[in-house]
Amino acid sequence: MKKRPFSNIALDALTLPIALVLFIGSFTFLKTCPAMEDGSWMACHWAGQAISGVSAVIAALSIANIFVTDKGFKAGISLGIALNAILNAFVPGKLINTCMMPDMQCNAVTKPAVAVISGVLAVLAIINVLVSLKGKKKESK
Amino acid sequence: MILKAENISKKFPRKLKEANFFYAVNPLDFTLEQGKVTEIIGRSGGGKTTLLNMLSGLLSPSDGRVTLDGKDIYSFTDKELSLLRNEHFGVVPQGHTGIENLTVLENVLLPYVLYHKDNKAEERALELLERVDILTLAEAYPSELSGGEVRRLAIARALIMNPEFVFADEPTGDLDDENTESVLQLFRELANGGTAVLLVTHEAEAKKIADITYKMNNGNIEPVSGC
Amino acid sequence: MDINKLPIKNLQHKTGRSTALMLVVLLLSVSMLSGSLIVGSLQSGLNSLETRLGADIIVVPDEAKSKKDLESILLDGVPGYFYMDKEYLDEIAEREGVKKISAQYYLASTKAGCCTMPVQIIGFDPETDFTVTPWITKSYGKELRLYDVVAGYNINKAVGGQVTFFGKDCTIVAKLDRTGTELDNAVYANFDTTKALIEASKENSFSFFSNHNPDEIISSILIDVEDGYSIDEVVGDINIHIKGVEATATKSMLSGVSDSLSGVARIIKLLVGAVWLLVLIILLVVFSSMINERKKEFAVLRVAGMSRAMLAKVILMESALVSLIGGITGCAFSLIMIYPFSTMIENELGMPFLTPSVSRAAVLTAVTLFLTVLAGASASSYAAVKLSKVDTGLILKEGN
Repeated sequence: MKKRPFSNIALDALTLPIALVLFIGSFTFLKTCPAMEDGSWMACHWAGQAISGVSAVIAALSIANIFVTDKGFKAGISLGIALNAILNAFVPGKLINTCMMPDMQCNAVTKPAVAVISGVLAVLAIINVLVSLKGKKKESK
Repeated sequence: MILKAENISKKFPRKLKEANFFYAVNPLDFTLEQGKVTEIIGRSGGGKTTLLNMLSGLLSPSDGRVTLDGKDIYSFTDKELSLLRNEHFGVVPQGHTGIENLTVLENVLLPYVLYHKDNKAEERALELLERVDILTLAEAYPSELSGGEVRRLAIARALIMNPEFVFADEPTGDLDDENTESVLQLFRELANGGTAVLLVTHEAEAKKIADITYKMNNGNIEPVSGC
Repeated sequence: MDINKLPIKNLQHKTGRSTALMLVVLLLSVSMLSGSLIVGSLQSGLNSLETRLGADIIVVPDEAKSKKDLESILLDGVPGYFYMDKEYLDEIAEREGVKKISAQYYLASTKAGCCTMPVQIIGFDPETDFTVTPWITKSYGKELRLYDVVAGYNINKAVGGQVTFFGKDCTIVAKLDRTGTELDNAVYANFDTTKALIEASKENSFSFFSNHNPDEIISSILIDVEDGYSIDEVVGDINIHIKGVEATATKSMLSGVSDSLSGVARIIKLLVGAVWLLVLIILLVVFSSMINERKKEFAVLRVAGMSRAMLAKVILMESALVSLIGGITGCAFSLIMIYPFSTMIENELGMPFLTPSVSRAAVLTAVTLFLTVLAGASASSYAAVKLSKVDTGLILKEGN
């Protein structure tokens, strides 16, 4: 019993910085290709916008998770993080097109990095769901 | 079954170089009889624990032999001796001997599960825990226990296999009067049931239940008469 | 309770200690697997570049710029073009030692409608070609018609898709396998298509082709050398006797790449070796001090009737389990860091980078895991054996 909360705390503490890296990264090192010379945007720009948006939601949920202690509530928020992270992984290339050439910024960096970071977040969040539910079961015992 | 020590001694190398060895136990004979509580008293450093370890198969003597029904136990392979100790010897060592990563119940079951795959000993383990009055702590970990509780855990663990020989090194060291009384009573009951009990202690209370008392000093042993 | 679960219980109960050990072991697997994946990728990248070029000798116009252009086409992915008279083809074909010979056109598209980057168009002669055709046969199997193109792996359009060059729609009829080189960004077409595109470019008044008649020019000549002749001799022969062109052995053109590759490979191997040495020393020290610290615990197990062999098994299982978990985590980390990001690594290194196939990666992962577990277990075995030699009675006494 005494030990349970620790895994939740560790997971929350691990999730938040990763979520923030993803959100801040979507404007910096993870950003998609720059505008073309004529000022118009390439396809990947919209994928980038969507990534920023979804990442903001993930970051907000991760912050909320730090303050929530109720196990059931926590499981719900973590599930939300997991689903958003999975959605995020599919945004570049699958749901919204990226550029044509694979060696452009959006394909070489944004797409794999967003997929990997979101994947890690999803895994952490799913573990958090399971840990929370297990803790809830124990509590009600 | 009879456990005999013939002319056993133990010498340890000295840390200083002047003399090569000192004797912790001088050559002596010793017999442990079933159905009796044998007690060894004496000041610390007198060689009591060393003798107990040699008798219980945990420390090979420098000279002499320890025989169980005439067979030298130190001539066995490690595997044979370990199995023999597991089945016939119950040892309560000095100090804090709870395995930190196992619950109290698992600690008590430990000797049984080493050579058995089933759960048949669980009932007996719970009985023993009740007998030493720590049943409520069965699911706790040793780190959550007091010194006296860990000591009683070690006693329960030593008895789980129903050994013919019980060796207890300062078993009442951390216990309060009430628990000391209860534990000594337990040893007496065991002896009455045919177990050979060897108690090593520097306290006097154990005398009440002892059939034979020895005193050990500077590696020499002598019987104490008149109880 | 099952005694075989004791090692797991020990690890679970001491989360901090287990995690720290796992992280140390993780260094072993990360360094080994990512090191071998990177070196392997660089080597297969270079190999695939050599095979994709498919010729022993490349002949280009004898201008300083042409050779540089060729190198930047192949290595930096900057589309380029240069031309020479077609007559050189017949002249060189007659030299001794030339077994197969074929010409290529290089054409750089301007913005190809879909994207900002110009695409390298490589035209080949289906009659004589021996370099591209085998690849196209492999992935397409039919002959290319006019305005049919075969796209390199990186062209982000599926088979059947359209690409527009100089206002002409071309159909992608096949895609080539990945080579991990800049040729993945190129588009291959036959001579008829390239000529038509050159004409189209003139119509669209792209100036760079204006003074060329596509029927009289070629960009480069690829040569396969007859067995028994040395490539260098043929190169020398062409360079001495035929003015206006420059022949280069493909190998020497790539020697810059292979030099830096072996440099990078050596550094990586040294690093992996250093990490392993360091980590093994750390593990040896950590395990001995840990086992020393847990002497009493092990003595109690012996008192309960555990034999030396059983105790050693518990210790070995514990370290092997930690190593296995650390190894798996490290391998997963390495695979995740290298496979999705291979294009980025290729861009950063500026070298051909072709990640090993799944089966090869599986073998590398298995070998890494095995060695990591072996290393972890053997690092603890020394301390375990030393501990089990001491009489239990002595440890119990010492512990007080």
